[in-house]
Amino acid sequence: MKIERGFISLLILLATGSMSLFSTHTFYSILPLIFGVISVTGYAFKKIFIFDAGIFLTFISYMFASSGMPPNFYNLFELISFFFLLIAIWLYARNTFFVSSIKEARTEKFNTGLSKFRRSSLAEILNTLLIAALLSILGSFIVLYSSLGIEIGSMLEALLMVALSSIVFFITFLIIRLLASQNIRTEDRS
Amino acid sequence: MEGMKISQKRPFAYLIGLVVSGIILGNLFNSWVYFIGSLFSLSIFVVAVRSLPPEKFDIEIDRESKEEGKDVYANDEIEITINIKNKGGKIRFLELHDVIPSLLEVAEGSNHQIIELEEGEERQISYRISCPITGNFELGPFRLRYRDALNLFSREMEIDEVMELRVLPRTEDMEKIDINPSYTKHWLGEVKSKSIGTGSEFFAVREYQPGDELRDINWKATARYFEPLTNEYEGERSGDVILVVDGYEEGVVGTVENNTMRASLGIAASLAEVMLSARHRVGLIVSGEYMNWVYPGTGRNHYHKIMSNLTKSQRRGSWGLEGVRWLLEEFFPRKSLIVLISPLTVPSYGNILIDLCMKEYDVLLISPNPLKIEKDVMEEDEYEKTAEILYNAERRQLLDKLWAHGTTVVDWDPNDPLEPTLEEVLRYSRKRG
Repeated sequence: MKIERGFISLLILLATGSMSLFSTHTFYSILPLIFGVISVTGYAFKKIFIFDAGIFLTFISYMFASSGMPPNFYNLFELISFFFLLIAIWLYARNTFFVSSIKEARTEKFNTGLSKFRRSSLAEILNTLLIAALLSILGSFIVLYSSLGIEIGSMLEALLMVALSSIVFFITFLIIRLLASQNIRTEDRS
Repeated sequence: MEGMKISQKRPFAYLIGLVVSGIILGNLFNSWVYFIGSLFSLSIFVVAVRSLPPEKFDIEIDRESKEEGKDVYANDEIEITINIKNKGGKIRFLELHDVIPSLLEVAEGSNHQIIELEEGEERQISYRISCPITGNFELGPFRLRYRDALNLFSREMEIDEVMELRVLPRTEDMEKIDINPSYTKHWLGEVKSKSIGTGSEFFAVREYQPGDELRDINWKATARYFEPLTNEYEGERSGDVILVVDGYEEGVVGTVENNTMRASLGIAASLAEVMLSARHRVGLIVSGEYMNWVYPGTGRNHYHKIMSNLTKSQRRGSWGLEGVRWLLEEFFPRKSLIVLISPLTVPSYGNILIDLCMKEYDVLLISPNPLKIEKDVMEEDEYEKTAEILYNAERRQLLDKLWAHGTTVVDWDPNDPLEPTLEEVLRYSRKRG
């Protein structure tokens, strides 16, 4: 468990350090690393709120530090890769928090149910994030095709606009309908 | 399984926050980067929605134990088996928490599990709990939580399936103990009365008198002397014993699991068993939150009544020995044997005991030594040797004073069995007269 915690802390520092290094070289480039250190502190002391807030601010500050980037394929992949990396580490760390909180209350050393949950939940996190990255790359192409240097005809452009708007409205409708059928609470018990 | 709730976790709020702040900041700084961040967060959310928990679960769940409905004794371990059947579709991450009272401990396995159930699958989950504290407990309800892997959505439900558990004080084997009240009543018991009556010990032979029972005729002596002769027996009687347990909260020393009150309850239960089997009438008073008392009686049912009252007694409240004295004088038979089980941490108790001795009560004090318990629950470096010596000197003085006034005093180390100490003290007390 200690090895895993050290590994996750190292991953956060590496990811946020790379974010600082690869963002546009301004004074604010250091911000992702600073917030990364904050989230590692929260993680080490098991203060999940500090950890979550640190990751959230790292994400925002990375966007802020990279806001001067020109839109091109390389920058788009770089941005999405870092978002993917950061969110993956975040969800992985939260998963370890959850599993360790259950383990602490146990007397037996090994539990098949828990390790099965762990394996399948990590696979699920990876799956979800990969699909999300693909979707966002696709979405970015559709939104930024002209800025990225892709030229298409005006007829196709109009069709794409209609299709894109329909998809966005459909997804929004779907999510609202799904969530409206539920009784939402904002309590965190993890 | 209606009335379930979906709980929105922090990642949910953060992802929505990233989507919204990306759009706002993107417009504010006129940068495409924010829109990409916003889009990525939105995509995660959209993908995660596919693993939203179903609106209804069709699950059957119950709990069973071999000890259900039976009496369990303190420190016993019992096995709990949970049977769960999924009558609906596949459930991926189902968190199951069988709520147990905080005073009970999980000894083996876990009452908190994460399971995956296929359609129609039945599963059994077992765990063992130990019961260090006496009392009436309720196991349950079941709390179930279905969550997605990202912990964005979860659905909770509570199933009100409750199992009642009665944990009785553990009794000590005290077969050799012979505690008898000095004042006996005329009903049959095991105390030799030094007068002729109904008993089992042979006393003498006398001439047959009309009305003598046929079974009392000594046939051998009758044949030898050619006249009917009857056996006479020593009368055996019994008395009233009142067990008093001191549950005055400020006087109890130790932790929730290991304290003078817990030791006292165990001893009271053991003595009740011994006294009732000696055919004495046994009563009970437990001071504490309220005066919990049972009027003297005999028999198996009465024993269960006493055990039930001991089980529900807890270390709390402000009723001390003053209240016990009032209760004894008002409602309980005079000249009874009072067995007070108290750590004697309240100095005024000494005078009350002396007062009871003056009023012709027969008083036996069994005092679980609070220092022995305190020593067990404290760290070595926290323990003050000088304080121990001073306290011991004070306690010794008080106990000697009580001896001098006619109380039989047993200074007992709760880590050891009571029987040898009590036997020794009673032998000494009898010699002393």
